[in-house]
Amino acid sequence: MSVPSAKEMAVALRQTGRALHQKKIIEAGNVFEELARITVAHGKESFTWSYEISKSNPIVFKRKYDRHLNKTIQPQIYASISVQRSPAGGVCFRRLDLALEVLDDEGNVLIKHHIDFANSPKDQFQEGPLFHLQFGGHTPGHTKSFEVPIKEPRWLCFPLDVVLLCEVVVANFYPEDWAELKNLPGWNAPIIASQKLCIIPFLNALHIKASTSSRSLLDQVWATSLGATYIAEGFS
Amino acid sequence: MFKGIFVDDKEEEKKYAELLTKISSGKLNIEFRLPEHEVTELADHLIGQHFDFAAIDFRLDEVPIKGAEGNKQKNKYRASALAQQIRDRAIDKPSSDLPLILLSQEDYIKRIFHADSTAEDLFDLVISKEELVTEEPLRLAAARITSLAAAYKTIQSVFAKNNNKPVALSVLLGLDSNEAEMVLNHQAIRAIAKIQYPHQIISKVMALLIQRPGILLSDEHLLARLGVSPDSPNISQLKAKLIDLKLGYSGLLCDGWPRWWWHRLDAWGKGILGAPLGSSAGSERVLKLSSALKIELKPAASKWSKSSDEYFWVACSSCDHPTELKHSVLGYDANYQPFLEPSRICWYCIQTGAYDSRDLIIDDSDENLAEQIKNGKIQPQAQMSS
Repeated sequence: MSVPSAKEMAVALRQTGRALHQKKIIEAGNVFEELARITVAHGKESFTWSYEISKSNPIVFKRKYDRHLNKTIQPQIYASISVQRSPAGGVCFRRLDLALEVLDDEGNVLIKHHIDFANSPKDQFQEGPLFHLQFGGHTPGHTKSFEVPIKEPRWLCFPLDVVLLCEVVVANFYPEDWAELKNLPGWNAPIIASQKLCIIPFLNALHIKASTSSRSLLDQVWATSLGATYIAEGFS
Repeated sequence: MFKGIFVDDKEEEKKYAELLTKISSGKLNIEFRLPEHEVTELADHLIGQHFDFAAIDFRLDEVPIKGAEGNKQKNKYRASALAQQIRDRAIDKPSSDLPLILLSQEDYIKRIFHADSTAEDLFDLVISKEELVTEEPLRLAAARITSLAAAYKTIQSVFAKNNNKPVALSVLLGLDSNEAEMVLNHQAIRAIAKIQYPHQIISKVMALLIQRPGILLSDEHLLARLGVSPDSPNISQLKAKLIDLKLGYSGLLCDGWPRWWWHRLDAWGKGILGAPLGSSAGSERVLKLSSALKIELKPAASKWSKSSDEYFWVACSSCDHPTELKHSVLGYDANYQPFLEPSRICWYCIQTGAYDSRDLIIDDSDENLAEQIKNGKIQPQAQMSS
């Protein structure tokens, strides 16, 4: 597992923010600079760090016209992430809570997707895959008529951080900009680093589980109120 | 006490020098002078007399002043020409650099001065004569002139102690090296440490730290981050407590432009709320802050939704009221840097057109949205749920 130091993560966040801002895909670069400051505050060489993008000051992408709705839409991201280098069971995230919302002209939430780590082992586990994608949920300050009332299902997914979620947003909502960004080392380098942090260790673990166990993958990564089976069994 | 001069071609305008001197309570002593010399001679005089600052009227050529030897008008120049001469001399000798204040009529400032960006760069401060008719604006103008004069002296003194070489900006801002590395490590700010002319340092500090929120916050942005209404009771007590907690900025220009360190406020807020200030709605933030500080505070209410359950973050660039990003548009800023909080204009000010009188420009990316608000296609919703 390759956990970047706080300084390395701060550099990656700044690189992503600058690439997005230079392409004018985000409104302002200050949220990424804030994340870099907060991450480095844990100590430059620290491998235990965290950052949070609050609901008051999310990463706001530029408005784009949606021809089906005949109005502009605007994606935004907020997040809370905490990482440690040598956690129990090999999971580097102590906390992972990413939210992607798409708002309409009037600021109403059209969709809301979450990628979550099913609570920390210190708390009671949620029922569902340890890393999961979930739709809906209530957004304080927004009208309930736009909300999805049911929280289930929680889909098994690999973990993403802010850098990787930004790539998802750009690829889906700004494909022409993505085509240009993909040619820039300053865009790719932080994505590769985040893949090493988030995706590769998890996929390796799933590969081993799928190859050696008679139980289904979903069963093995399913967290219950008793805890996640695969954490107890080890994860590397 | 700082010794200054006010140059104007109309004798009756001497009153501004007297008013500012009087209201400063001994901090300023401003003498008056007509532009009786050619521009180079006048610049030599101002530098030679070692004034701590110079205030200059924009039109120095409206009332002709002729010399004894003939009919040639000597004052055929404007404030910008005189200011350029003074700045040129400061480049040769940084220790003679001094604050330049444009003190002129509102009409000239708007119509001519602001149209000339080269002239704008020469002055540290612009004051409209029309504003100096009541005590509060006079007091503010005197405080800002005093603060500028003190800032120049501080820079010159610090440089002198460092063999006339530039010093780290953290020294001038009152930050220790650990904080500075975390907060000031931005390319545009690092570049300030290479500047050796006080007026250029002041210009950068103004543009990157004082005039735009980001690293520092004005009182208006402080209230927005806290979710507190500008008409809340006990705001003076709130500020006093935050100063006791060392959240106030005490570096260059702090007396004329009170500011707050955002990184310290952020850390303190996390301690009080158990989460970043921005993670809860205004009403909840104020409830917890009131309880922690033991002072009654009133939460801000959105000017658009009328709700206190909004996620307030910035002060509207037009009305200065706390506003939520959700109900604001992006303001255009040609000098935006990635570490700055971008200018936001609340939907209420867009709807009423109030932003126009503040000379604010909507960013192209939000122009269509602003049009929908102006023409009534987007209206406040009756009730927002919490």
